[in-house]
Formats: sequence, structure tokens, C-alpha cells
Amino acid sequence: MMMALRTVLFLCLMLPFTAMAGEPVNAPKIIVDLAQPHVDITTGFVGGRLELFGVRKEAGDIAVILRGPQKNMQVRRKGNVLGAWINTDKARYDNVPTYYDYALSDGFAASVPADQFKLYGIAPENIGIENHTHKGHKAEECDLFFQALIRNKKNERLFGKEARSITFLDNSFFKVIFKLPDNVPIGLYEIEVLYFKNGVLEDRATKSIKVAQVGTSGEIHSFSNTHALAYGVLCVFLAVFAGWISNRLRKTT
Amino acid sequence: MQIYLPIAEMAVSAETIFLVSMVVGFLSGSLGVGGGFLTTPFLIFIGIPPVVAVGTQTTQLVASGVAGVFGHWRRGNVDVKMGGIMLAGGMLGSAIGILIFKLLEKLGQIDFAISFLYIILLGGIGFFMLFETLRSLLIRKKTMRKAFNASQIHPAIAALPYKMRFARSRLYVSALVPAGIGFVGGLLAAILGIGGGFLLVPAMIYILGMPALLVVGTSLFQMIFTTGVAAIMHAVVNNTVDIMLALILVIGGVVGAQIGVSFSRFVRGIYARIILALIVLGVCFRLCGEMFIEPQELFSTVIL
Repeated sequence: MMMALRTVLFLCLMLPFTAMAGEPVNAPKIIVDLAQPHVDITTGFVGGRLELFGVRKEAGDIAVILRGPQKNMQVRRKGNVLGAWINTDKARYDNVPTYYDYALSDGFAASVPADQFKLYGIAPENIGIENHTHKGHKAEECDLFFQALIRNKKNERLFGKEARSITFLDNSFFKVIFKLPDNVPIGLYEIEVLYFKNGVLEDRATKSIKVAQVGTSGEIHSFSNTHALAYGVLCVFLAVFAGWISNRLRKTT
Repeated sequence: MQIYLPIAEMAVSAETIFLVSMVVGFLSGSLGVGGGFLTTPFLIFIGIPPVVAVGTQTTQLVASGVAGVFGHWRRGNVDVKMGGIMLAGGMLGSAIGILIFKLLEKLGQIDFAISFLYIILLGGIGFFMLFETLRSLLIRKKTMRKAFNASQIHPAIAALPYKMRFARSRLYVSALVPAGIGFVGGLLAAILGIGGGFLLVPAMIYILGMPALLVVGTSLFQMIFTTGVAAIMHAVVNNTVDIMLALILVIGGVVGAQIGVSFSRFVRGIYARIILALIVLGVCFRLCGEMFIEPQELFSTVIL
């Protein structure tokens, strides 16, 4: 799969260049960069934004995909047991992006065929799941679980519900804004920009960006991971102190 | 004001949580209940992951335990030896509770287990409180608690080995009994994030036969250590103690308790108890609804 994809990509990338004489062989069709190199989560964080700027050398369709760090996930289904609704069934999915959002240029869907959406993972429904484990599930049930995974993530605001738009400031200069919710997972994010011409991928660019807790919030987060025992003791000590203060206050009144 | 919780990895409204912890603190100040059984379900209602709600709530229990124990200590109403035996059982209970918690989480049944146990506990306490209060209101007669005497201790309990003398409580009883009661308290603290006073206090009176005067102080005394151990273990094993959330809960609790204590002089205990019983039953019904009405979304996704 990966080999085939690479070969296709390689051909896609090379063909136009070899065809055009006079142009340097490696001339990119698009150039992109991020407005900020990182997204900082502070104590006052209520959601953030990620801005990407780019230039396309000639007319073409553009898709921008933002993917969060990959994790293994389990989808659970509730069933009725003696009147109570409890988890009775499950399926496991490996290496699912914890965050997914995407933006398309105007008219993208009309000029790029659906199989390209699947091939390059455009739209949450097309995220490639390499490995999933179902026990005793028929094909249609597997599908139900996969749809639930996408639906759950969309409801958690972690997968984009629909494509964002790409704003062109002139014919070549464009900008994309991804709004990030307050519960955005931390980690390294990958941004992939795909450039299509006549429904065929001609160029692509990638950028990565770190979403991390910084300041007090970041220190607490890393301290709780690296010094879990000391962190626990600190929390308890804080509670003891607060209880003692409370008692002092009660005595004075 | 929205505040980002570093461990829960989400933003919450600080006012909402502050207000709730204040109400719970108010209840504990005016009625003398711990209130953990209200905070944890509420935190889950507003979208905090159950694991973080339980883990963090244990620190709030430490604070309310410390705030309450001083008065009892000054009056000499803490049986330290009894408390020590109880907390030995309590720490074991906490440790096993954490393991059960972890196991249930792995099986994907932790939410169900927490809701189920809460429904049983809250339903039981709520109905009992409402029934008792209404009865005493209707009969207009204070139901005198029967004076307890040691001969009423169940023979099976009297026959248990490892007998110990507890001078302060004037008891000669097997150490297994207080250790067992503490063990149950530890389990409740670790799995549900509650101090379990409503369960431990009657058990200490009716099963152990401790003098009622010493019971509250002693149970608070051991609760501080049991819940403290549970908090540290939740932090180490599950990394689910959010210090930011704990801070809001604890401060809200302190302020609320302060108002509650001053307010308790003006409120008739009987009406306050009816209101508390109704709150408890309300939370119970809400949890029942979530469990027994078919949910709109049958699927849920968790990160492994």
C-alpha cells in the first residue's frame, strides 16, 4: 500500500517537471509556511488558532489537512443488559489521528475525483486505518463501528465536521485558518498541503507544528508525569494546608 | 472565567466549579456531611472525565477531613489507636480500590461501575434520610437512639481473633473489625472519591460498638490518611489528579463551609435535612435516567 502510494506520488511529482522544459526540475508548485511555529496552551487557554499561508505558482486545486498525533483507540457499543445500558461490544483501531481538520479551495470537490479523496485521506471519513481488530463482527458491523468513531470524534470537536475554506488574497496567495478547540490533544501535528491540477496531484508540502502546554500549565503537566509521587504528595499537602486554613477561619468566627 | 485544566486537558468554567464546591462546602458546614457524594457526580455531569473527577475529589476529602478533625481532636474525641487500625485497613482498601479502578477502566466498565455504585448509595441514603426526617416531623417526637451496650455486639464479631484493647473507646475487640470497616472506607474513597462517613459512622456505632461521641472524630482522623493515600496513588498510578481543579474545589469548599457554619445557627436542622435528602435523590434519579433510558448515542470512543 505504502509502496504503491509512494510510486504514484513519485510519478505524479516527476511527470510535470520532466514534461516542462526550461523550468528547474525541482521547482515547487506551492510554497507554504505557518504564521506561528507552535500553539501554546496556557492556563487561560480556551481554544487556539493555527494559520497557514501559501503561494501557488499557477491555478490549481488545494487541500490542506491537519492531523494530530496518532493513538490507539477503542470504540465501545452499549447494549441493554437487564434494563441498564452498558458497554457490551468493542472494536480497536490502531494509529488513529487524535485530531483531524481540513480545508479545501473553492470547487475542489468538483474538479478532484472521489478516489483521490480516499487515496490522500481528504475528509475524516477517509482517514486510513491501517489496523483494526474486530471480534466476531461482520463487514457491515465493522463499518458501523468506524462510522461511530468518526461521529464520536466530530462530536468531541476533534474531527472537522466539514471542510474549512481556503481564502485567496489574490490569484496565488492564500491563507487557511484552523480554529482549535480547548480540548485539543497535545503533541506534534502534521499539516499536509496537496496541490492538484486537473484532478491529479502535482505537488505537496508538509509542515509540522507542536501543540503543547506552556507556562504554569505546562510545568504542572510535565511535573505530574516526571515526578508523579512528588506531585501527588504536593496535592495532598495543599489540601491539608487548605483544611487547616479553613479550621483557623472557623475558630475566629 | 474559563480555566484550562492541565491534567484533564480541557477548559472549564471556574465559576461553575467554584459555586458547586461552595454549595457542597455549605452543606458540610451546616449539616456536617462530607459532600463528596455530590461533587464527583457533578464533575462528571459537566464533562470532566470520571477518572479525573474521582482522582481529584480525593484531595478535596483530605481538606475537609483536616478542617473537621481539629475540633474533635481538641475535645479529645479521637481514638488514635482505633483510627490507626482503621487506616491500616483503609490504606489496603485504597490500594485494592485503585487496582479495581484500573481494571474496570481497562474493561471499559468504569463509568458503569461508578454510576451503579452511586445509584445504590445515593438511593439508599436519600430514602433513609427522607424517611427518618419525615417520620420525626410527623410524630413530632425525637426518636431517641437506643443506648448502646457492649452485650449487643454480634456473637460472630465477638468471636473473631486478634483481640485488642482500645482504652479510649473502652472496647476489647478483634482488630479485624475496625480494619475491615476502614478497608471498605478505603475502597469507596479510591473507586468513588467519597469519604464514606455516612457508611463508616453507623458501622462504627452498630458493628464495632464505639461510643457515639468518639465516632465522628475518629472516622475523620482515619479518613484524612486513607483519602490522602488514595490521592497519591491516583496521581502515581493513573495520573488523574488535577491540581488546578483540586485548588478550585478546595477553596470553594473552604468558603462554602465558612458560610455554612455561620448559617447553621439560623436553619432548622429538620428542613435542611429534607432538602439534602431531595438533592441526594435528585442526583440519584439523574444517574438512573442515564443508565436506564436508551442513550441517543450508543457508541463511545476512548484512547487506549
